[in-house]
Amino acid sequence: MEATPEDYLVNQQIKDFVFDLHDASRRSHIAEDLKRLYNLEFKDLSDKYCDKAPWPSAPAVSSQCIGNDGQPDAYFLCVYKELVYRHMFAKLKTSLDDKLNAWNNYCELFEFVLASEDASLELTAQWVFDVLHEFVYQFQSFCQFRCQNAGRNSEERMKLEAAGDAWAAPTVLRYLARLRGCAPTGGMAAKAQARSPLHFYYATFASVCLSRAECLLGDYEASVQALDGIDVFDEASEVSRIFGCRLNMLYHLGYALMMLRRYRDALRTFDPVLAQLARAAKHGGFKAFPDENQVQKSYDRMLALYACCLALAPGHVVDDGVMYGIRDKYGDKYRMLERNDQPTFEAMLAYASPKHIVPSIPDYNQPLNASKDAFHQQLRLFNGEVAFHARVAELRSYLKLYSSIGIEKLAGFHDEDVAAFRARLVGAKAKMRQADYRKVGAELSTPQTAPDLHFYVDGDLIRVDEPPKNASHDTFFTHEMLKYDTFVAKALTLKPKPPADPRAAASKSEDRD
Amino acid sequence: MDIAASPPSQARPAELDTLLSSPDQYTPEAIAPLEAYVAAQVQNKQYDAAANKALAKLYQFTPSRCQDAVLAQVLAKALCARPAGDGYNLLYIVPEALIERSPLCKRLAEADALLEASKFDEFWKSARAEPSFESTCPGFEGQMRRGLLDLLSETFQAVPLDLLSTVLGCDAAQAAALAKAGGGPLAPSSGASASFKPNAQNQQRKEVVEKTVALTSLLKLYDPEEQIFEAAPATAE
Repeated sequence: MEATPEDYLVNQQIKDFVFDLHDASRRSHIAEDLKRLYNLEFKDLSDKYCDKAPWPSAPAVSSQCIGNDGQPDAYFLCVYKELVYRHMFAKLKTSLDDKLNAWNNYCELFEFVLASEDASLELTAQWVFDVLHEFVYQFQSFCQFRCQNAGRNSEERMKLEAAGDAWAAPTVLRYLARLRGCAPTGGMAAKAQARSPLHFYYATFASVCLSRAECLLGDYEASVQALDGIDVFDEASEVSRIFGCRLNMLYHLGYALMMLRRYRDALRTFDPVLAQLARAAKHGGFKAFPDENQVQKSYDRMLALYACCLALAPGHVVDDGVMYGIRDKYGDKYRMLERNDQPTFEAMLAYASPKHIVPSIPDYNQPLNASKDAFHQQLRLFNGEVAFHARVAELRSYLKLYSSIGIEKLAGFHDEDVAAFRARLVGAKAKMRQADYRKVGAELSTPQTAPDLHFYVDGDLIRVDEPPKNASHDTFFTHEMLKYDTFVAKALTLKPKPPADPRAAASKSEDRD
Repeated sequence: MDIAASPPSQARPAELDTLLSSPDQYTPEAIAPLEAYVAAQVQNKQYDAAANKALAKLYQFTPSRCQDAVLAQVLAKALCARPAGDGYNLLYIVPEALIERSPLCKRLAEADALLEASKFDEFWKSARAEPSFESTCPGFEGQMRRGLLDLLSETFQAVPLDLLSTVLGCDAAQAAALAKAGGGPLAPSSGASASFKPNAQNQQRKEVVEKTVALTSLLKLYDPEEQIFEAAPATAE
C-alpha cells in the first residue's frame, strides 16, 4: 500500500503499536496481548512520546490497520481515535472543536458497534468500560461547559449554535439505551448468548453508565432500573471484576437510593464495598487498588453518604470497620447528623453528591451561568426531606421509651396542643416506615416494610409495639452440631498410641531380680 | 362529599407501551403522544406514573416545549398517588425554572411539602384557591381524600371528628355523615369519633415465634455415609 505523507512523521514504535493493536483486536484475539497492549504499552508510549502533544491522527496511522478488504479499517480507526481523544482530554487542553469532533467520533463508533454485520472486533472488558465511562464523563463536562454562558465570545457562540445537536441529552441517552439492548445482560449464560463478547461487554457497561447518566440528570428511579439484570452484589461478575466500575456503580446506585428515600437499601448497597475499603484504609491505604486517588475520593464520599443515611434510618447493623472509618473521618459531623442538624446535612451532601447536569441546550445569547442549577435544586429538595425527618425523629425518640403513653402527655413534651399533635401523628408512621426491598432493582414486587418501631393510637393512648423477636434457635444448634461433627471426625483420625504393655514392664522388672 | 372508591387504574395503549420501552422515548417526537395520554388520563380518571415521568424528562431536555397546563396536571396526578414518591421524583427532574414560572405548578409543588409536614388546613386552602386543583384535574379531591383516609387508618383505631374534618378538608356535618355511613377503611360508627376497620397496621401485632426450621439448614448435618443406626450384629453361630 502507498505510504501517505503523514506516515513519515510518525514514530516507528507508535506504528508498531498500532499495528499490533489492530492485529490483536481484529485477527488474533489473544486476550493476553490485548491486555498488555492496552494497559501497559499505551501508557508507556504516551508518557514517552505524547506527553505534551496528542497521538498521531487517524489518517497518519491508517496504513497500519488495513482490513481484509485492502482498505484502512474504519471501525478500528474509530476505536483508535477514541483512545487518542481520551488521552487528549486527560492530559492536554482541549478546544471546542476537539469536543465536537470527539462527539462525532463516538457517534460513528457506536453506529459500528450497533450494526449487526461486524462482530469480529474484540476489546478487553476494561477497555469497553473505559470507552463508555469517558463518554458519560465528556457528556457531563460538555453540559457544564455549554451552560456557562456568561462571558462567552461570539465566535464560540456561533460554533455552538452551528453544532446544534452535538452532545444533546436525548441522543446520548438513546445511544446508551440502544447499546444496553444490543445483547442480553447477566451472567455467563448471557455472555454465551450474545453476538460476541464485545457486544456483551457493551451491553453490561452501558447499563452501568446509563445508571450513572440518569443519576446525573436527577431521574433516580430510572438510575436504579438501568441496573436491572445485573447482580450488583455478585463479586465474580464482569462489572465487579473491574474495581473502578464496581466503585462507580455502587456509588451512584447508593446515591440514587438515598434520594429516593430508600435509606435501608442505600445502606445495604454501600455495606460490602465500604467494609472492604475500610479494611484497606486501616491497613495502610489504597496502594493495592488501581488509581489510588480516585479510590480515596470515592471512599470519602461514600462514607459521607453512608453517615447521612445512617442518621436518617437508624437501626441498621453497621460493620465495625465502617463505623471506625466514620468516626475517624467524620466524628464530629456524625454526632451533629444524629441530632438532625440541618447545616451539617447540607454540607455533607454538597460534598458527597455527584455533579448534576442541566441537560437542556441553553439560549447562547443569554449571558447566564446555569451550570450549577441542577445541583442546587437536588440539594434543596433533599434538605426539605431532612427537615421533615427531624420532626419525626423527635417523636421516635420519645416513643422508644414507652410502651403506651397518652396523647396529651406526648403533645406536652413537644410543646404542641393536642389537636395539632394528632395531626402530626397522621403522617409520622408513613415517614418512619422504610420499605426494605429484598432485591435492589426495579422489581418492587413484595416490599417488606420494616419500621423499627410500630405504634398505633387507641382512643387517647398511643401504644407502642415491640418489634417481634424472631428467636431462631435452629441456626445456633445446627452450628454447634456441625462443629461437634467436625471435631469427632478429626478425633477419629488420630491413631491412639498403644498403652505401654504392663506384662513387658513386669517381665523387665522380673529379669533384673 | 366525594371519596374515590379505589386507586386509579392504568390502561396504557399498546403504542405507548412500545414507545416507553424503546430508546425512542427520549426523542422530542415522543412529547406529543405523551401529552395526549396525560389528557386521556385526566379524562378517564386513570394514572400512569412511568409515562408522566417520561414526559417530565422530555420537558427537562427541551424546556421550550413545556406546556404549563400539562405540567400542572402531571403534578396534580402525582400528588394523588401519595404516599408513593412520584411527587418528589418529578420535582427532582423538572427544572425549577419551569415550576416557578407557573403559579399553579408552584402551588402544587408546595402542596407536596405541606402534606409532608401534616399541615392539612393550609393544604386544603391552597388546593381550593383559584384555579383549584380540582379544576386542573377532575377527581383530585376524591382521590386525595381516599389516600388520606388510608393514611389515617394505619395509625388510628378511632379518630375524633374534628381531626377527620381537618384532614379531609370538609366541614363537621359532612365528617359526621361520613363517620356514620362508613365505607372504605371506615367502619360505620356513631358518636363523636369515626372508627376504622381493624387492619394489620392499627392493631397490636401478634408475636411471631418461629416454630419451624428450614430443611436446608438441617441437610448440612446429614451425611449419607454415616451409619446412624448400628446394623444388627451377626448372630453368633
